[in-house]
Amino acid sequence: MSNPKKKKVLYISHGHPNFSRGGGELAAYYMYQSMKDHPEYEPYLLARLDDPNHQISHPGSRLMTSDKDDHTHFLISNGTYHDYFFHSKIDDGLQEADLYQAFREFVLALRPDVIHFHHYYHLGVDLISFVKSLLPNVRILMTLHEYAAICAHDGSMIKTDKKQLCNEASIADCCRCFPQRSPGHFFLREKLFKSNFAVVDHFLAPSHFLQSRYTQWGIEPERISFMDYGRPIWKRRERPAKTKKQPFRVAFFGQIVYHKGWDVYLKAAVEYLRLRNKPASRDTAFPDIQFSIHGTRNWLSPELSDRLDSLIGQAGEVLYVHGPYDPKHMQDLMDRIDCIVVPSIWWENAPLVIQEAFMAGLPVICSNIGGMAEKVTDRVNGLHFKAGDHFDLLDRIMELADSPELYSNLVKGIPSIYADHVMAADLHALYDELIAKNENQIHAATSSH
Amino acid sequence: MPNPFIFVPRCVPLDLFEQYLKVMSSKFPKRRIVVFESNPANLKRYDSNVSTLPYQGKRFLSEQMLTQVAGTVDWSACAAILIPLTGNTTRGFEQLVQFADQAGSAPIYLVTPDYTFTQLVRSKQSRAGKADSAVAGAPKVTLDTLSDSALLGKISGRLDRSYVGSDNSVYAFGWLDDGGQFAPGDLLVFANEDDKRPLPAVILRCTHPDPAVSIRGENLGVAIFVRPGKKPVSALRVRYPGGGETSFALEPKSQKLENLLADIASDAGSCRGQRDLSAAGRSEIDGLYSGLMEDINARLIEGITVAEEFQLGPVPRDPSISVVIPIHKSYELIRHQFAHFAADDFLKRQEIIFLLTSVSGGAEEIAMFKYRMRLLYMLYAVPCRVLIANKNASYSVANNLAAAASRGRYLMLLNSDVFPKSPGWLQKMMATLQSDPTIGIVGARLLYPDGSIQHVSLDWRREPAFDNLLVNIHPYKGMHPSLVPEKGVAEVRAVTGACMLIRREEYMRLGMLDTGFIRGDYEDSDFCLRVSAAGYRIVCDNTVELYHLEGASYKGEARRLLWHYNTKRQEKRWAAFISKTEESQAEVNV
Repeated sequence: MSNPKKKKVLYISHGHPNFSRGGGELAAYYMYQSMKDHPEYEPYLLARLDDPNHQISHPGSRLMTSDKDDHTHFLISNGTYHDYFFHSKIDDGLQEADLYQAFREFVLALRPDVIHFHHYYHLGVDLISFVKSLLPNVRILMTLHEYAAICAHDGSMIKTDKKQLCNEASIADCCRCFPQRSPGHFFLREKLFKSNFAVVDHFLAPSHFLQSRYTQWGIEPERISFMDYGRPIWKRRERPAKTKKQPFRVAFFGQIVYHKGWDVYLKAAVEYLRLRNKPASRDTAFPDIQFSIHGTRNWLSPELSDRLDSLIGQAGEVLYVHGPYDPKHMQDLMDRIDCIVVPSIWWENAPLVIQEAFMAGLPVICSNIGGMAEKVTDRVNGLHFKAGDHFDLLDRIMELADSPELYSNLVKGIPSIYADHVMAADLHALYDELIAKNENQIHAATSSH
Repeated sequence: MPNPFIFVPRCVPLDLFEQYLKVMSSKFPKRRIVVFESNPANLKRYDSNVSTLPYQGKRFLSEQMLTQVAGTVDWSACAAILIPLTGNTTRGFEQLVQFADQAGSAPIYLVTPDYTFTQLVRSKQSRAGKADSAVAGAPKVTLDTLSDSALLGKISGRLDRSYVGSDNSVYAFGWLDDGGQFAPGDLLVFANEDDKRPLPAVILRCTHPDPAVSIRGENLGVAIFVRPGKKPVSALRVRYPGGGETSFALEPKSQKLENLLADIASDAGSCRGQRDLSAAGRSEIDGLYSGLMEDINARLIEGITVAEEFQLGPVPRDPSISVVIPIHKSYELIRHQFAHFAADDFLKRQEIIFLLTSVSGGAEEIAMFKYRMRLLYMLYAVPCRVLIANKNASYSVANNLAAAASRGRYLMLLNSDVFPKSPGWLQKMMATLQSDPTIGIVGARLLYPDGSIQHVSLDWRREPAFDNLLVNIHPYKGMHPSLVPEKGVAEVRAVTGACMLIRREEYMRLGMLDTGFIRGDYEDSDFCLRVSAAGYRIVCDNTVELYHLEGASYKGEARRLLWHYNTKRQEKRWAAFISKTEESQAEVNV
């Protein structure tokens, strides 16, 4: 099954795209896929799987393989028993007692040369120190997908009460976001992450923005570098021709969670309808815009759920609600729209949907903060709007709808996307460098008496 | 001839009264019962064989009662006047009795909660009316002897807690429902069922802390200290001047000793809080309670040993340093210490000992702890020894136990909520200790999570707010480190036991930590004083920094009172020594 001449790299992710929709899992999967058929490295994937009713897992075992892929293993870990504050699986009693034993057996059986973490959610951050105890010479990397180590609010770095943007963690501020926690908790949380992160040899940041947040938090600049999300590039194809009668089609793709800003997007749609219905608008050539929203509706609080339904109702005929989508159909879906909106109210890191829009040849309208503002250059390949401000968003949409010249300039400015085979080459170089450095150190240590 | 009747003022609660009525009916068959009823709502409540006479007024006052019955009641037909009592009848009692004495000439009977009828002999030398069915064999009591009688002695009470010493000394705390009218000097205490001689005991009265009791009156609380004796005591009887008694059965095993200590501290507070207490009185109370707490504490800590132990990983057989960490319930912190220790190669080559002292939660809690230790070792690979005590142990007992089991030349006492800032701290402290044989103890600078000072030294000051006793103080606590003048190794008067390095042999020779302090706060300063008295210096190495998440171990009134106990103990032992060292340093204390 495995080629003894190749070095083994194990990717660890908290989910698999077949079972969960998050961007982090997908990025991890693309990275794993990109290394297949690599001449020198053999990739393995260990993805967490939640199976609370013991439906698909083997009795008495926490491990499974994929029937489609020899190198993919699933580690069964119950998401309910995870302490999201300390990212621990230790304080929940004996519920997940054999999780670490199973992990240990797997890692010792595989003996990877490189372990590349994508997450510790549902697995516990202690896992990082654990692999070091099991394989003292293994090279450890981690790709960071959000700000969880810095921020206890789902790694978003926005405040808990009014969702304002937060720039830096501090014990006093963090206590204000979590009144039930004490300063000691935040102290311990930070130290726990830093202790475990100390054994990571190299961090990858998919955006310069995220990289700067983490260096500000305390990761040494030499231990973290920028590497975008690499992915398979869509085959270029002709977009279906657009008729004169068709409106300017704008879309939102993403999980319907509050941080993604559907609130802002839908309010823009409602405002658009209101303006269009004004008598004055009928005389002028008021732009014809069609809004779409694609995505899975996750659990929302009753208040937010009501607000969502109300906004959808108010947006009426200008809004199409499409519901969940399969990432495999993204290209088809994007063939039918003119631009996408990424209105997240949190900083984001490197939204995959922006890459997808660019691959489809679409400009992007996004909030002017964080990773979004980095991936989309204002007036070059998209437009920025003031984060959280639905009036400003609507202005940008209408501007773009009204100006074919601006539109074609933006399309021309679309950058190339980081391809998976390019990423594989970069990873290869990085892994080689880390392994060589380590070998030098071992050599130096053993040869000096 | 009018129908003979029994006259009864309803001076007890209605539900009890209905029981009394049944008994009275059976003692006086074929007699009408006339109830003097003060609550209009009850007038229709009674059975048909009961007539009611409304009483205007909320309380039974003899003048009013006499006025209201005048002309209405034909006393010549009265067969008996019955006055029902409860264990709580203390007030208004005199009024009822006075009324009965002046109302007609029928026999008066007092009926007590055990349904005994006692005849009250009238004070007037009027001819006692013929009692047509005098209750046979009823004891008699006169008006004069009434207040001293056993009738009032059917007084209820409650025992809140008790403790029986191995020398048959007894402590009991509870309350007596006597309206607080009996002073300690009025009461006697007897043992068991039938002892005739009163026990040598000190009795204190106080306002009971339970609001449900104190609302009934001040001074209902009672504390009883019975001196050691030859025979074991299983019950106490409190006897009132009139001969009545309240009994308490002692159940000393029912309360956990640790909780008892806290409760006793609270009792001491209640007794000390009495009004008009002289300094001598307060001092006597303090003496009694100190002795008691000392006894209980000694009992608490006797027979504590290591029940089981196991080793995780390669712990050195002959280590330089033994790091001793007592664990009491703060299980979630252990993971964080492991994460900090994992990066410290020097520390991992020493002997780390975790001693579990919270064992009263049962087998499952201990099993969880053992599982957690094994899991943490697997994840973080920090070798250590795990010891488990056989009983709940205090901080001082735990450290002493672990020290006795340790093998290193140096001993580092470390709290479970202390986290090193960076590796290298232990080597530095050891180097400081080794650098100078006149140094007995090395402490470290401890910080709060926000980086402010938690500890650079311990010191003493006389506190006017607390009787001018010597209290421990923590200089610079909460201040930014830049404000601390000492930057290197500084000589100090004492350091905290949260992070303390000593030569193991000296720790054992100088007596280890004193287990006579209760619940902590003084063991470290006391040990430092012993080390100073033996001629050594104590230093804090300000270049070594660790974080201390100082937790509140134990809040509230009980903590304050135990602290008081500990403070006085330290004062008694060390005041002279401290003053002497202060004089020699020519410091002026106001």
